[in-house]
Amino acid sequence: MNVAEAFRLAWGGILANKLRSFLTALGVIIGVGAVITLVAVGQGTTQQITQRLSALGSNLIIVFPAPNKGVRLTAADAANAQSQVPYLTASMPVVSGGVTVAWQAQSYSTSLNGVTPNYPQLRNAPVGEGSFFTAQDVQSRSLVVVLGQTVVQQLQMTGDPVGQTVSVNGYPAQVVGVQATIGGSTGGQNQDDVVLMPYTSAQRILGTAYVNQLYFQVNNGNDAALATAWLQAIFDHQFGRAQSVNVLSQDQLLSTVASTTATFTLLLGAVAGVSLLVGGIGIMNIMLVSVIERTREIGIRKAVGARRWHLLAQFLFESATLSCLGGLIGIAAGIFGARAIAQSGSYHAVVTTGSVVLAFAFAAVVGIVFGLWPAMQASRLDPIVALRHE
Amino acid sequence: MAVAEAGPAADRAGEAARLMASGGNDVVVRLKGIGKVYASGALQVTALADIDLEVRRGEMVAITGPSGSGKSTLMNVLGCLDRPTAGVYELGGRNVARMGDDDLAAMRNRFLGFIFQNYNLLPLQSAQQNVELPLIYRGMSGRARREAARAALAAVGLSDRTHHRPAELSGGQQQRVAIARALAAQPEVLLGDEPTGNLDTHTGSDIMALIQRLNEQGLTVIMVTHDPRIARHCRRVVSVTDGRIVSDEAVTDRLMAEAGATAQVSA
Repeated sequence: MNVAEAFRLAWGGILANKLRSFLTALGVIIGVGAVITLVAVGQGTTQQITQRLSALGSNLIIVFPAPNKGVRLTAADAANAQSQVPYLTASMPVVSGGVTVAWQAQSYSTSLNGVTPNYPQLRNAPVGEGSFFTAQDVQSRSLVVVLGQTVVQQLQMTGDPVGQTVSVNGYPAQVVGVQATIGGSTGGQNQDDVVLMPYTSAQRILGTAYVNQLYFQVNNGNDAALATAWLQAIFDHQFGRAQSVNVLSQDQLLSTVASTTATFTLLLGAVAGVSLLVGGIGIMNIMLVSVIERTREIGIRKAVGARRWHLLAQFLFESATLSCLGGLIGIAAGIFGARAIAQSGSYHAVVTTGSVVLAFAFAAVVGIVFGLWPAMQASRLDPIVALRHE
Repeated sequence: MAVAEAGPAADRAGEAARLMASGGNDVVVRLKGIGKVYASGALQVTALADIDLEVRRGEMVAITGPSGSGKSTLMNVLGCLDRPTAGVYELGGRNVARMGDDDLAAMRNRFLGFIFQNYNLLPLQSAQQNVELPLIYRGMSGRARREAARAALAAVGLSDRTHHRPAELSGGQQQRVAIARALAAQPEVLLGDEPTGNLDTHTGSDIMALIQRLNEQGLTVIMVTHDPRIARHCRRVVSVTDGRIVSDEAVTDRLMAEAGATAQVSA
């Protein structure tokens, strides 16, 4: 008896009870499908967050006060630090807060970012229409704004927004530019949902003399770690305490987020993997029942000369075929599930070859491992007892 | 009646030789001092004791005895389904008494064909597939297997029923399929366990006629039966009581079964 013959026998056993075979495979179908779908969601989220962080701008270092240290940053700190630390090619203070923007009858709550003309370059956020405000505007605390796409839409501004006047917390401000769409609408802050203004003007509107964050740009990524350490030292010295500010480079952010999302993906995959395991136990259960139910068949086969391995192969092939078939259907279900979730719009889902291969391999292994015990039971039956079985 | 005279069979070999005037003289099955003791805890049950038996090619032997006499155990040992706890069993020139499970399976496959009281066909497989079964385990290729199975089914007169499942066949037809399954493997010995036990007299007679004809063609037959009438269809009757052979003699008034209208065999 060769492999094809064993497979034919196993296939006969599967077809003999189609509904039961399907229900047995269902555990694996759900398991494999769940692994693929959930890992796809994890991977999709990772990819999305990574893209978002990359969109922050290249070689960026962000400094902000550490919580509960009583530290406050000013715009002068940005210029000071840039002058002291080599490697830094640009700096920008950022003051931010919630504001209500109004145009004609429409009003909309959004976040105000007070920045400098470095913003488009530092944040990879080019202006779509009009122009960004100038250093002159910063110096003279001009009430000028650059609107994000979402704000323009929410205010239902008709015609060219550039040149119009909007109200920011009651202050009339002239629109000088509209940002190009950055994209991405889920998770964290929507980067299109923002109003940009000279930080001096923003301080006036928000009623503060301080800034929330300092942005620095290093000339190349390799120097980011050195610059980060240097900045930390300067500010700790300035404020007279250790860890007075948090200094985050984009690389650090990326690796932190990557490890977090990897854990997240692993967790999702593990939960789904457990269901796959349960599917395997379902296979074992049914195969054990099947061996008892087919005791007489086993006896007949043994009487006409089937050896142990013939029966071992027949039953093992049966469980392996069930789980592999379940695995294949599960792959289809998983890809379908991932697509459905992606289309529902609340999550990104990216099906990776790795997860498909892993889930299928796991299913196959589960089928063989959990099929082994029932198959051995079958192969060990005493033919005399088996033939008498009713 | 075969069971009439008890007492030790003095010269069985000589008897067998006499019986086998028409067949070959070589011994196919030889049991020497076969014993079977079942041990369950402290209790020991002797199922067979000191069985000596030789069957030559072309013989047709009935093993009879009351229930619990050990005839079924003897059949299981002869069928390589069970190992004796003592003695030597030579089948096809090899001692099978100490063989492992897989070797026994190979011996069954190569040397023995079984027919059972309840036919023991696989219910979900066609007659053709059932007959092919032993050939699968022999490793025969698909085409050779199909041809051998078709020939065997033709030999038992079931050429027109090859694709029927057992449930679609009568009892007699099912037993014919079982005989075809045994024949397809071209066994040295056909072993029957009450082969007509589930059949009415008429159909049973058909089956016995078929078995007798196969025996005429040279096939060695050993069958267990409790029915003295069936035993008289054989050439030789061995009686077993309390695990021992109590008589072993030739059938003098042998019955020849007549094939009925339903069992016209076109060999």
